[in-house]
Amino acid sequence: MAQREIIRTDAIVLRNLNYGETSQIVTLFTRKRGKIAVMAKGARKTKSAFGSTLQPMSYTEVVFYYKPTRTLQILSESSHVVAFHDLQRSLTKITLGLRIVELVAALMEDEDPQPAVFRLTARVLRHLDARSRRAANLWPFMQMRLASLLGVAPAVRRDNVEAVGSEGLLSLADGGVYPADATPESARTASRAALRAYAVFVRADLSTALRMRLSDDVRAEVEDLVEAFMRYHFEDAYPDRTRQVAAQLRIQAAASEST
Amino acid sequence: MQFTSESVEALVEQFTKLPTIGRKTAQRLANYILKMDEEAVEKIAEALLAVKRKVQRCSTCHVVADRDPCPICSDSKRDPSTICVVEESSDLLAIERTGEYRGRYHVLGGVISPLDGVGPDDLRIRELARRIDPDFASDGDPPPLDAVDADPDGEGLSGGSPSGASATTAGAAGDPGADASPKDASPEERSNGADASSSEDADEGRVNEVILAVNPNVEGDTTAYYISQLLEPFDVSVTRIARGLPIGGDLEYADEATLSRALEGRGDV
Repeated sequence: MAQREIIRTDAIVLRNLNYGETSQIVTLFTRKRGKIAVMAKGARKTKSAFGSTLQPMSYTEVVFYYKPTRTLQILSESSHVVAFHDLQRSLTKITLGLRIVELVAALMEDEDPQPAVFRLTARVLRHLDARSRRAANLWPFMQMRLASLLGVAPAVRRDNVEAVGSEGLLSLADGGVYPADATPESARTASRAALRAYAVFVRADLSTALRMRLSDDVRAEVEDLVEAFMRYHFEDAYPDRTRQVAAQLRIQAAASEST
Repeated sequence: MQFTSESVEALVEQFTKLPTIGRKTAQRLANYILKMDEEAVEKIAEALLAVKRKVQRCSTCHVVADRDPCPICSDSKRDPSTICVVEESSDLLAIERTGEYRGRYHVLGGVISPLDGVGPDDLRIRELARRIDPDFASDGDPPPLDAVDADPDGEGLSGGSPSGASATTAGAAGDPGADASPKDASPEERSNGADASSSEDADEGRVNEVILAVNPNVEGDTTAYYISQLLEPFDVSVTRIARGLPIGGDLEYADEATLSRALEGRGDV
């Protein structure tokens, strides 16, 4: 007989879905159990004890009763570990944050604990909440770090980046940057500025990536490169819904490059 | 389990098409229908047909109604200078139950939900803008957000650093502490629509205030920010219903985010 276990763990809310009159099915990315779906009974009632803790992008501590034989666990408690007060105060931040949780939801397997991915996601969301400027840099940084943690780390070599002229190549296969006269597998041409920025997102730490200033054109080019690399490796698993809506909202990644 | 009657089976099949109705519940409903008087069953059938044949959407506010314009839009006692924007017709009914609001409505038909792929083009947001300014572009051209800086963080929605073409790292870090207070109109400046006589002073049909009565969640926030930016160029006050503690709730048990919004939205006693 399956044994019921009470789990208490940190979690990031990936998405929620209304169920019945007042309940919600919430997809959590937990530190201990990975991605897991829980039923939050009465979560939509105005006096629900869950309050705002089950909104997507929330960083919470949850308690749920885990039973291996069922796919939907029952959520008992939820409270903020860090309340992201500023995350939901601008369209840019909301859209970036939703793209991040959408990506994590799409690339994580159910009940596959990935503590490093959890730490990365929590860290990036914290910075997104706190940053006013260049928050859009978090999106390519998050994707490159996530790719590395999932086993497809781009192989960027400094000497190759230095050798790039006015234009160079990005190999979608190994994620490396090459001079224009090289012949890497599945190559894509890009400007020198975009390839250097791409290399920074791959190799630099978060604080360095956040200091990088990009023009609209270069940012768009870098995002295209990162997306092409991600699509090459994760194929249809790479999500697209939030990007499409963001385009309708005219949220441009270069937006947060305020002067 | 299969029923011995094909008619009952067909009814069960139809019931299972309704939301939250599984096969078990459908079978229970079908059994109940079998036990009902024929007259009562006819009334249910007539009501189901009537709802499809008679009910339509008001061409102005898009609420479901038996006639167009709906009773609210055709009521001359309603204040036309105030529009309360709601997600669905059921939200309109919830606000009407308060008896406090005497303005008009606009039903969006949902909210912007990026994770579900629902964007502004899927909602009746342009129709709202055209109620405020009939000249608002109807060709699907998105709103002029580029010209608007409605981002409280000081981030623009477009237009990066013109001098930042180089992909080298710059030394100047952002100012994470930079924060501007959200634009709040004072209570005195707001019209709650309760005083219908105020419309006498307003131009005929002119909208002075748009009240966003969307749910306090990520989708509601996204929708509210988008609409407020869309309406920024127009001479109209855009407000949002307060978020915070429910009456009868206990402050001790409120989560940080809710309490924080309640503090922000505090008012005079």
